[in-house]
Amino acid sequence: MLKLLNIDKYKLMSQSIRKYASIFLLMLSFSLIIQPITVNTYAYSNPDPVADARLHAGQESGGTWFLIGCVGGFIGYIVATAITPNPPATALVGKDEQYVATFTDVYQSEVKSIRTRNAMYGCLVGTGATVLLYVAAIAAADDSL
Amino acid sequence: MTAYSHLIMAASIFKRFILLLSLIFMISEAYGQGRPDSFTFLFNRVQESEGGIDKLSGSAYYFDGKLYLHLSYPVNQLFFVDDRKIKIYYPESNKGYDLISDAPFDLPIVNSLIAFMKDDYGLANIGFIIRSNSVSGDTLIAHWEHSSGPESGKFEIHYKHDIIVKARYSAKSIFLETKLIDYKTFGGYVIPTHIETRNSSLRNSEIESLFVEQLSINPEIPDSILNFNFPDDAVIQKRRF
Repeated sequence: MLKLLNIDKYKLMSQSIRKYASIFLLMLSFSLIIQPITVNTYAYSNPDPVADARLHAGQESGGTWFLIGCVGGFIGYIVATAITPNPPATALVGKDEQYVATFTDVYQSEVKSIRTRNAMYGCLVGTGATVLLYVAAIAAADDSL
Repeated sequence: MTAYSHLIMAASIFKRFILLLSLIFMISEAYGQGRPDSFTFLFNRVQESEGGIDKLSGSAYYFDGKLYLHLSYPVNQLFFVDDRKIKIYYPESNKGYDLISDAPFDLPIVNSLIAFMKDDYGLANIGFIIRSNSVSGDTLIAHWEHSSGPESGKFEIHYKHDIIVKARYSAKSIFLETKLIDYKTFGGYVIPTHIETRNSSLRNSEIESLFVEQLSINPEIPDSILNFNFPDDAVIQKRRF
């Protein structure tokens, strides 16, 4: 009985991991076509590279990195800190030297901050959920004995 | 059942079959012209939003998946995108940036033209499938959904006289509408010379108009552009992502 219960829990866990992984892959592949369309330049005649970079960075999907942290745990968090985000090429076309330098720096730091923050939250939630699952499994095992 | 009702049923099935065939033909005809290997054009791009109006003009060369832009307004800038590398050069100051990344960069300006030239607007490649077709006046509308379900957003591709006139994407908080206007024939290819994109999201709303002139299909690309590199004495900042 206990074995059956554990097998069901493992099945449930692997199903949910697969579900999150497929959602993540879908979002990743989808972003390849949508991102170039949606990320237009926000810089106008007197552009402010800091404000523009923050606006672009705001389009970063925190939810995706939350899922990565949730599924991948600490490894997901490490991935978020290790990957340096590409600035959108669209935002750099027709901009002067100073703009390109400032935009690139601010965009990178803002996106990295969004990614690591969300991956950390995901990691904490994922770890918490796993601990709760184990506690529930142990409690169920104790009850059945 | 009489022989007459059998005949009516057969005629109805045949009619549906012909309609289906004509829909398939219309779609294949619209995309059947294939994709040019390279093209060049002059462009003017205008973006309007609550923040103001942004204008950009210059010439573009697209070849082998690479993009070379020579901006003449608002700054004199050479912009070269080659998959995971971007080279930005300012001839007047002889300075530039060499950006190298682990992931490919997006291609500005030519995005919508490339999507137009791809089979199925590039949708099939990212897992979209046609759910249904409908007709509104003289316009055939193909409704696309992602194979995983409608929550990933929906695309509508509008065909008029066998060519795409509009593409719409809608998801929870995003609405994009691209109108392909003023078709002209260049080297046997029918290509829109005015592409207008409306982008509405929770954060902002803007309209981008791209005007294309003097488009040349499969032209000879100069060596200086094919193998673009910074001048030896240029001051270059390298950045890795």
